[in-house]
Amino acid sequence: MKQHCITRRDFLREAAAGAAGAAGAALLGSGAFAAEGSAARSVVAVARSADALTADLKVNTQAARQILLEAVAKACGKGSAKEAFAALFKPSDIVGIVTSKHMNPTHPEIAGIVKQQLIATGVPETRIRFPQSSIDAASECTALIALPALKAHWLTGIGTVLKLYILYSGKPSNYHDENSAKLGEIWNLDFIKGKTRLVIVDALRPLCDKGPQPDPRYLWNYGGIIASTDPVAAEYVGLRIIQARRDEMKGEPWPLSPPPLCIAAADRTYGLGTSDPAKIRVVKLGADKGALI
Amino acid sequence: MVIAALAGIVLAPVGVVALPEACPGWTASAQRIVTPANVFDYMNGAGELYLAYGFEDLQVREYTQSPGRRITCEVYRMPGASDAFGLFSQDRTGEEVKIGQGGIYAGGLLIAWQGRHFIRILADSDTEEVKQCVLSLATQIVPQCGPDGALPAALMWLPAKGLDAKSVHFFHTHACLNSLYFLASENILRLSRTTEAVLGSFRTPAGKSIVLVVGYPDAKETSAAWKTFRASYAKDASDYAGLAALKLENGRWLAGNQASKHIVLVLESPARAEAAGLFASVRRQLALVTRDTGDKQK
Repeated sequence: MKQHCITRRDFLREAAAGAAGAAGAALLGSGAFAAEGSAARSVVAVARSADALTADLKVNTQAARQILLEAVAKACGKGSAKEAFAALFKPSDIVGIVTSKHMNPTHPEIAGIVKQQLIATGVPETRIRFPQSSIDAASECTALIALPALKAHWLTGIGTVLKLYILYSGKPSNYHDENSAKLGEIWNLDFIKGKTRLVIVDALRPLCDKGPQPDPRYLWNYGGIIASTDPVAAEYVGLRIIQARRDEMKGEPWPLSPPPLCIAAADRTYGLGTSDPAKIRVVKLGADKGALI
Repeated sequence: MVIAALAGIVLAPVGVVALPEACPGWTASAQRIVTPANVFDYMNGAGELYLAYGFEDLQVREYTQSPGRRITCEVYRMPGASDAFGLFSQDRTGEEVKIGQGGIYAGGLLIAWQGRHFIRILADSDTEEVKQCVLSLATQIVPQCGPDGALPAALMWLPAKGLDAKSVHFFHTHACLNSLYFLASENILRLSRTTEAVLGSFRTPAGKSIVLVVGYPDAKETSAAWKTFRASYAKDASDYAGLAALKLENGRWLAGNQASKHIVLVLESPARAEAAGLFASVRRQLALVTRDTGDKQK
């Protein structure tokens, strides 16, 4: 599908109009989230712990497990992660855990926690896959967990949830640059459409610029896990955190460049979820300081 | 060769940089080569940046130290010094270090350029010991990178007065422009490997202005680019003689025009007079250094 040309002036127009509407908010990374208690379309939980990473940047598995389980439970509106996983996955499922493999990858400890939780839910270990870039392996799965790491991307703005399945397209370069808005169409390919039941974003140490190559100038300890059943809402909340970090670093607005056109398109063109903050309720768990949202 | 072997130096084919055997206390992997054909196996999602500058090959070596510490040393061989500088100019945030023709160190990352080579060394931690190792590796690499290379001639297109020198980027492609300054989702300036572009910030008491100058292979391509830019970005401009004064939606000002083989754009400026004055200044500079004075204003 051909996207029309979006220029910087379109953004400036949106800003001048007060970023009204979902499109403006998704493009600008601004706008108020749904109030607590409101009937939001999607829930995104952001759980953080200052102990999730050690001083030498290793994962503290115990602390990371705690925030991951809390985030998943809240994102699914359940009392515990066990209930949430049980509601989403059955022992008969073949579950694929899809992680960011290259360049600021998902911490393997986080993937391990998710795998253990699936096993605790009753999914046999033999039915759990890591179908990274294999179309055959993804096809075999009956359910997927998207488990990317939070990072900016120099070609697509953000390179987290929506970009996670790019290798399933068979032609990754077709989704870069001016074509990055089309990333959502990959999620609608026959062999993965509708399979993603849970999104968990590893935001322990995100990257807010120059991604996907690691660059210590723009990596920071956030100590967070973002969880949702809505991939677009999860991506949008990740965007807001990255954008807030950028503004904080520069002391002035420092818009993500290029803007992540894929988020609004995933909502409006591909129907994968919502990018309208007014329809997203954010549940924050853990320290508010440094939450950036 | 015997002396070299005794000194622990790996002899590589002529023209290939031999990455240092080790840093004291660190163990080196074998040196490997990455080419444009397999760059995505090495850095999926990031290879396009180096392809945009036409990299020819990349030498890689990793240095490890228990428990689990790692330094990755990369040396990119570019088509020429301009492109080595172009990669270096992507982001010069950090501490300036005297490595090659320019070096920056920040948090365990070193970037530098020398001749036609771009050096990127990344450590996964940042201690004084790590920094010394990173600087030592770079210092050993630089002498193999040949003599100094010339800065891109395009840097001279921007006048010195008011220019923030560290803000200047040299590049070719639309993707690079958009990562530095998002202009449009489509390639409305028709940028490609055959175009050269400089982007820089000017600071005056009135505020900051951003200037972009693009050089094209010929006048025909320049005119085509100017036409698509006008149609996509400034279709509401009434000034048919150019974009001497177009107020943007954020209250800032756009000024611009084409010469025979160049397009000059003051993309954002705090005031009309500031935009017009800066535009005139860049045009004078461009005429001085390229003799491109031919306005194409229709």
